[in-house]
Amino acid sequence: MPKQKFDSIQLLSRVVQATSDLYQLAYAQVDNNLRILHVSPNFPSELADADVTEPNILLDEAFSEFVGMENVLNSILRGELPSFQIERVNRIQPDGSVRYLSFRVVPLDAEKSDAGLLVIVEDVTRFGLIEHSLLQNRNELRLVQDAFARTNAELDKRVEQRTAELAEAKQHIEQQLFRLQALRVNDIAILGTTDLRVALKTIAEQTRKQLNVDLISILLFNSHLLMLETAVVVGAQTSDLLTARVRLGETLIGRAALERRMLAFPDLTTNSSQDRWVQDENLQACYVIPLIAKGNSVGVLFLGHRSKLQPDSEWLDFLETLAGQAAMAIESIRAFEDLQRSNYELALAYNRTIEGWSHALDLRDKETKEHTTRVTEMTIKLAQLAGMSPIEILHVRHGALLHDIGKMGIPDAVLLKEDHLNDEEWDVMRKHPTYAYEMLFPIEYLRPALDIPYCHHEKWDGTGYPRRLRGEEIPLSARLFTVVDVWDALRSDRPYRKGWDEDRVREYIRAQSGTHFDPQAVELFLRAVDSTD
Amino acid sequence: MNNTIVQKKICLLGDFGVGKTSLVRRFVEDRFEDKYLTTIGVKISRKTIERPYGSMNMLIWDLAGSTGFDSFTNPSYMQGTAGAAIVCDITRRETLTIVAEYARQARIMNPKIHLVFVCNKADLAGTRVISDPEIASVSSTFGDGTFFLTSARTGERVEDVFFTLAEKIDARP
Repeated sequence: MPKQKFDSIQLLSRVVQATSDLYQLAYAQVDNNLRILHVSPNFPSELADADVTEPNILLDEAFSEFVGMENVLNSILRGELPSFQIERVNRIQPDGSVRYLSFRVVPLDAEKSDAGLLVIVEDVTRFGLIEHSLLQNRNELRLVQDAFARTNAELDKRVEQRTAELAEAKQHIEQQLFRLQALRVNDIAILGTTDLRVALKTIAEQTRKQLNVDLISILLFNSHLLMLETAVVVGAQTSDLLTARVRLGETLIGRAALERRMLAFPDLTTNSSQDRWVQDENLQACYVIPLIAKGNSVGVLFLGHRSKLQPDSEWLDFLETLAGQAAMAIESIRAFEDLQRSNYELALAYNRTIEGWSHALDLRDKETKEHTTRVTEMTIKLAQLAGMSPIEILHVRHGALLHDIGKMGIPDAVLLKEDHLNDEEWDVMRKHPTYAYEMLFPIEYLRPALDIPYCHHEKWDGTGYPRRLRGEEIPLSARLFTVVDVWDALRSDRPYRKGWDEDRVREYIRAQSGTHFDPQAVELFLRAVDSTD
Repeated sequence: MNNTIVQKKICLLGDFGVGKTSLVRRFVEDRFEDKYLTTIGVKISRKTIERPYGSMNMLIWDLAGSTGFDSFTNPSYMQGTAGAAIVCDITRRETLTIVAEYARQARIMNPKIHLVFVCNKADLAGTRVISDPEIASVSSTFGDGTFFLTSARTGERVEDVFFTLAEKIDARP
């Protein structure tokens, strides 16, 4: 019976194959002991692991796909399971090509258990190859998509990371730039003022702004009193700080100055300080930096904040830089003040020397001190009216005071002769402007004052001496002085004549305008005399 | 000398493209091919390994990789399986997320099955996206928490996977 049924199935198989060449069906009959009894003629014996025509060959010996499947196969035999199927089993051919087989196991007689099994083997290679091709393409595409997705994610991550790095770098650069600008502002303040407190105020404000803290105070060291005295304070809540004086070695400020090292308290909440400033200003952090310039303690920079600080190394470096600038400002402006004081003292000494020379000359020349004083004052007045600058006027003053300094080189016999001078004596006398030049030119400080001593005997029309200068070749200060000198000489009594009255002198001066004197100088002089009257 | 021969069915499970076929090829033929060739259905290979009692004839079922739970392995393939290696690819995170589900379903189909967890493509460290802690987290679902970081390309720890399965099967057939 089973054999007949199997033959019927073979017949059915031929019918199916005849209707469609897509179906390559083969069959094997298997008994209750899972041994192969018969196979269809088209059974793919070449794909079996053993010779399927040998008697008593077990199904799992012929096809390793059924290894371990005894329980499943027995369930089908017992009618507990309708069928079992293994699809698309790959079989590699000797030529490397692949064949795909599907196995379907069904009971030989569905109505009777233990009637044996029918193993239907279907060659699905054509479908398998098509499916493989589709799947290969789909999977490759998915792998490429995955790779793209991963690459994109990686790129996004890198872009995000790079963006963050750039943002951080930008912030850092901006901060550095702001700090450089602050240093530049401080430099300008230091260079642009001679007022120490103005410079220190700028530094204190920049320090407070750039380091983002509440309070900055700069104290200067008074080496006579051994005390630190407040110079500037920014951000204080109490007024005590403004006039604070701290003894060296006392409080945090005095200690920092004495020990010449920074005292840092970034968190005063855990390090309670008895310092009055800390308590009065409710500070939770403070830094005290000694200001040292060229090895000398010149002050202290006190930094306070009303909450805790967590400074990084750049913050601390910048604080030290600012403190260095403060020290430099103190040092340089004090040096400037000292220099300025020295200059004043030197200028004063020069002036006294010049006045001394002038007085000595007056004494020798029997000229009255008042003459020199008068002509000097009047010449200065004219110089002011002529629009000369203060420094030019200073040189005019020196020149007027020393206008006859060249007479130091004139022998007494000539200079003090009461009688008229003969021609030779006049020749000697006319050398005194040249002597003045020779005396004063080597003195750099007095060189700009040479115009009057050297040129006050030149005449507008070119008939003067020593160089016969003409018109505006004669320096302005000398042209002004000449008028004043002649005026004062004519107005004064001489041993050989009485002084002229003012009208006569005025007339004489006018008469000499354009010949002896510069007409404009005359006009200026007469206007000045009128205003004095 | 023992001549006992046992025959055991071993399955390889995992997402498509994780390198299951390459692992089998490395273990059985000791070679590696760069070209990706997808597997459809099942490809059965044999490898006999020496055991203390004789030898074990391993029938290694290289199953088509899934592309999601919808196309999870045909249950009939798992019939009679003594052990399975569940494989993921350390360069593709999505292949890890499916591992625990493979283990769960394998146990449903065959409660006595022995499982090992394999993280393949260890040679591609530069493009690795799955970290050791992530692997450890998934491997805890395998019971003993062990896993194998393998490379079919270099052969790194490939034999360990199959011998470990053999030991587990021997210990509790």
